[in-house]
Amino acid sequence: MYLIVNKEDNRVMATGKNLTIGTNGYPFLEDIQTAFPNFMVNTFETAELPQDFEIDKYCYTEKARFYPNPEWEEPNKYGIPDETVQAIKDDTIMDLIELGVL
Amino acid sequence: MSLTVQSAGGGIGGMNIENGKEAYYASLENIPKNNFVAVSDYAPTYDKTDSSYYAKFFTSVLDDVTLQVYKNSRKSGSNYYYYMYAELTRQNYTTSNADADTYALNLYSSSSSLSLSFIHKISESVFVIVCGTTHFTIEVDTSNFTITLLEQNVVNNTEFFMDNHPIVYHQIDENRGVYGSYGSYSSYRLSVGILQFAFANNAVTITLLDSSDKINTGSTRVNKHSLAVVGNDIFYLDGGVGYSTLYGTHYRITDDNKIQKIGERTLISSSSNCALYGVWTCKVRDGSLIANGYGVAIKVLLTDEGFSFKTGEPSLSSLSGNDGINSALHFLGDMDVFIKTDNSGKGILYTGEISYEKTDLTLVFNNIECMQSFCSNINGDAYVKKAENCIFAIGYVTGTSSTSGQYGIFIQHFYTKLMRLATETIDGLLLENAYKDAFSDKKYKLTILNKN
Repeated sequence: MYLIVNKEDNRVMATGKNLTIGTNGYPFLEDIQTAFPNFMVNTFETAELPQDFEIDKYCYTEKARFYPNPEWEEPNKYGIPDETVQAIKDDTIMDLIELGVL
Repeated sequence: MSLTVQSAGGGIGGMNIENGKEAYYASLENIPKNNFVAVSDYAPTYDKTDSSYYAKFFTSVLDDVTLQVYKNSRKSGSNYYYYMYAELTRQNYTTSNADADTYALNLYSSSSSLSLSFIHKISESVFVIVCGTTHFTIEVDTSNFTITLLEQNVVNNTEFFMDNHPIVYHQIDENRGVYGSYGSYSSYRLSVGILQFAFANNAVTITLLDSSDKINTGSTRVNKHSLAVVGNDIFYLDGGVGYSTLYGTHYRITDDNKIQKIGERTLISSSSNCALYGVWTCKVRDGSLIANGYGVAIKVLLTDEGFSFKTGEPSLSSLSGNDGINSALHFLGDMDVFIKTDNSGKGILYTGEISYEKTDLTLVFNNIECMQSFCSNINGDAYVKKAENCIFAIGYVTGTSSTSGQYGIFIQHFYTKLMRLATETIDGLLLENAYKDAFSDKKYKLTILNKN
């Protein structure tokens, strides 16, 4: 498995099983038909990914291997936008106030 | 003539097209290279954790190769990572299943958002992607089917565009272009500027040659169709505070690349909602313009003294029964065809030929044809683009939560009569003003292929 890793923050931006180098020298992940400027990314090969791996969720360096991206936040448990969750919460509170519960 | 409608996610196949006398068969076989590819200005690239961000992309056609630039974002909890791509697509016309080779180059990936402002074409292979405060220069190699990032220049361009990135851009030649931007809602400021692009040593230097500001017009009613360039003349149409006024400003690019204000006039005032939802400017065959607002269309003739128009020019509501909110004029063969959408809930395109003489400022609409509804409750922008004898339009659909945010594509072929080719309602095609609930993993495009 090939990893495309952002040089700035070591974030894993893409993965793929088939990697070639284009005529412009850029790594090209055939799996997603996408190339990356070689001055912007590092390319690594690894045997396996963390079980809960997601793009951007992990960083990678040769020395530290995979480690959690400190900027990553888990999506809310409902799988819907945070703004929607907040709107539902606000509406519910208003309903409870109107019902005299709160 | 061969016509094909397809989406990037897979073609919807050929179709029989009849215009009363002749029948054309749309097929993906034996398609010539002479083709037209039109892609919506705004389209999302949906990611499973991304809820509301959208991408917009630009298309340039190099025979059978298309260049797109688009962005998307990926959500991690309450944070986002923003990505921008330049992508080549080569249609494979030798097969019947609309195969296409693609090559995408990841140009940008960061937690900081990036606005795609416009694309400037330096040459057949070199393009500058301007993103407000920075720009990317890319080189397209159609032989090897690659894109190379020549530079990512982080020079702050905000001095060019002031409060906002350009909302409209017209390229004049390989080295120059005109942008139009507007100030924040409270500052009420229009700006028109001329930019120079100097390409050397695989890098581009962007220089603001001149600009002109216009204050106190409340120009929030400006969109990507509000500025027209005719030769060295620039016409900028904007809507005033309260949406009840249409202003026109005529600039001229001088020989030494200065922007000279030639004239500034109020086209319509105290008319009801004439600037609501945006204003459009369209070039007419003789070089004059049609200024379109809510329910009005005004012919504007640019002169050395400014510009002239006939006051009281016509409300279109009498033609349609419903005021159109968006409109566009396009040349189609020997006809000028006016297309207008409305927000009455009926979703109708109004079309008709426009006859005029250059010195006659009166608009005459002939053969107005009320087309079939193509989607209900069109709102916000509608986008119309033409190929040879062909048009498509996209409208935003409002409605219940389950239908809100969908768009219809309407394709109109003009030959000896107006004719509707296809209508499709699509999840997630996005326009500038209405994107909140719409997203999709598909990038739709319409390909119209004309046989020589």
